[in-house]
Amino acid sequence: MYRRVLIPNRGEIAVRIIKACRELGVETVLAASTVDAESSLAARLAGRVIRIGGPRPAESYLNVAAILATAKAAGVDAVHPGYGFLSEDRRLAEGCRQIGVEFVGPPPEVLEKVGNKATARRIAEMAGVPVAPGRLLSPELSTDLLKVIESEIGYPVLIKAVHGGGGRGMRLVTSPAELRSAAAAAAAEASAAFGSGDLYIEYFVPRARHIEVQVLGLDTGEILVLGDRDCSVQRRHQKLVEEAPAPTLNDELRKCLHDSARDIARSLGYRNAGTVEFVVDDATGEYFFLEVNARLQVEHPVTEAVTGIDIVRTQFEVSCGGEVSPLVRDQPPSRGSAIECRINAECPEQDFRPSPGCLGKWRPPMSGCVRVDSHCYGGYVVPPYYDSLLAKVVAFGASRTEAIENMLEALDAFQVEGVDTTIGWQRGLVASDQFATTSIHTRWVDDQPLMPAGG
Amino acid sequence: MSDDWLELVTELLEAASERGDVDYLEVVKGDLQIRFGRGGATPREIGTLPTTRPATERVVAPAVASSPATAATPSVPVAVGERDGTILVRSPMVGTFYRAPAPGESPFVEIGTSVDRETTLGLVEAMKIFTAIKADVDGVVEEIFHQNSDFVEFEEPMFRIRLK
Repeated sequence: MYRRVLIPNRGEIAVRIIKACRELGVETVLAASTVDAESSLAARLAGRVIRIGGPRPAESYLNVAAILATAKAAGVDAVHPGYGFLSEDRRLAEGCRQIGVEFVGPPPEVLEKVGNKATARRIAEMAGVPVAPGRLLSPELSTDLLKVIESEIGYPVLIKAVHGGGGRGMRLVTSPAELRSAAAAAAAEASAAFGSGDLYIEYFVPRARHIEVQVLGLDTGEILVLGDRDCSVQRRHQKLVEEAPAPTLNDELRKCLHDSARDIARSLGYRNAGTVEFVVDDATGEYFFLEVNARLQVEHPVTEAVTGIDIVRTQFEVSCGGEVSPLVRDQPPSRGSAIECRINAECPEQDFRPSPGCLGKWRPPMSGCVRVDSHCYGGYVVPPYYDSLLAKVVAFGASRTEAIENMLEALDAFQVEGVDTTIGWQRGLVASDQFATTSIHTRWVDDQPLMPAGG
Repeated sequence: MSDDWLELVTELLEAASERGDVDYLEVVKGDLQIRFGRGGATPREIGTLPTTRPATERVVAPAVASSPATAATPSVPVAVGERDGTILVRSPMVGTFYRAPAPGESPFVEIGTSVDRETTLGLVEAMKIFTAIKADVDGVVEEIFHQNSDFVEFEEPMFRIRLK
């Protein structure tokens, strides 16, 4: 096992990684922005904190040179990049290799292949996995191309950024008349966010479930499937509620998804933890490959809850060539059901406007069937520079119904003052008939008028 | 002192002396704290081990660099106060501090050097990217807080300038 690890990240995931390191007896060095070095929970828990830059991500968490210089000087054996920021950045993985430090994740070659949506699709196709009809969108939008889009793909279509992620640089186009302006807008947004305005156009499944498969690539090349998750509760392509196992899959579809995920991961030469995302057409039962997330996911706790596997710990074990736990190797069937709500500092009544500020009261729920992953504490000032995630509330139960009951109890017990949160909104959603009967598809939230708080 | 303790303290002294720049070691047993530093009578604190382990366990000084790939000495967070008539110039970047433009050349400034807004006081390097530390004020260098090749954090106090 490693002696010392650098964590160039923040918020709840930095706390999560430090926790895994402590259990493994690994020293932790936190590479933090000035504001996080000063006030974050991770800074208080880490063995050592190094200020690497100013509060804006570009100055700190996205600063490859600063992170590599810090890794070198702090004498770490490995870097765990967490999620977001540079967690899938080939330059960071490559830089780690150059300075003789391990990157806890897949190798740079895999990150390169996976980071380009067009390449990833091609690899999926070659692995025999269904992909949604689609193609690269060239800027000219010739009449021929428009005809092809209508006949081969069919509306509605989704325009995506080739080098993008996180739901940005995406536009839904329902008719040919909108295509030109939507493409221009998407290209501009993608250019600004990802440095590239290259676009991809894909058939959009109107009633879709977002189902993803957790994979783990071992050094031997073997790919293990740890489980699946349903992340259909989304708002503007951002996940809000996730659950494991995916509740609408029958045995056959589950096997198909797991096999496809394994096939894609194997074709990629995937190593360490990753997630293969699929779109499942609720109406027809067809599924299509969406993308590979070559990193730890925010929603990993729901898989941990139903399998007993510590995914972050497993990442370290695989990365340093150590033994993984028998639970990972033997893979007993998953037990029970787990649901996660991403509690954000946002005001649902005002279009989910971010609400940074000072937390007055902070009393998360505490019970045997609830896990809360958070970096918050009473008096913490939620900074405006980063995402608005305050905590992940994970409730589990022997059945999905029980997990729902436990989640409602947990959200009712959660007391926060000082900032607006999505707690009430998520409580209403989890209590709804639609959620109980698994009728929620990925555009459902966007299509609803505002739901009453409390449910 | 019990055998365990004697062994621990000996190990710490060995680790500290291996560093070559440590001449002060303090171990406080209740709620275990370990401080080490340099500076003789008024030592500047180099590292403090957080109390995450019970006092009976062995503890390794955290700032000792283990990897041979480490080029710079580990960070030396400096406790520096304000002083009337002076300002602190802080590092614009995390990285390795260099006092001279190149190895073998004279340092950019010494204590007593007159500087103006445009004067380069030193360089900070991260992965071969060099950034100049500018004085940004008119004055005289009064204190220099770091040595050549020190690894420094972002906004680390580097120089004290007495304003004209």
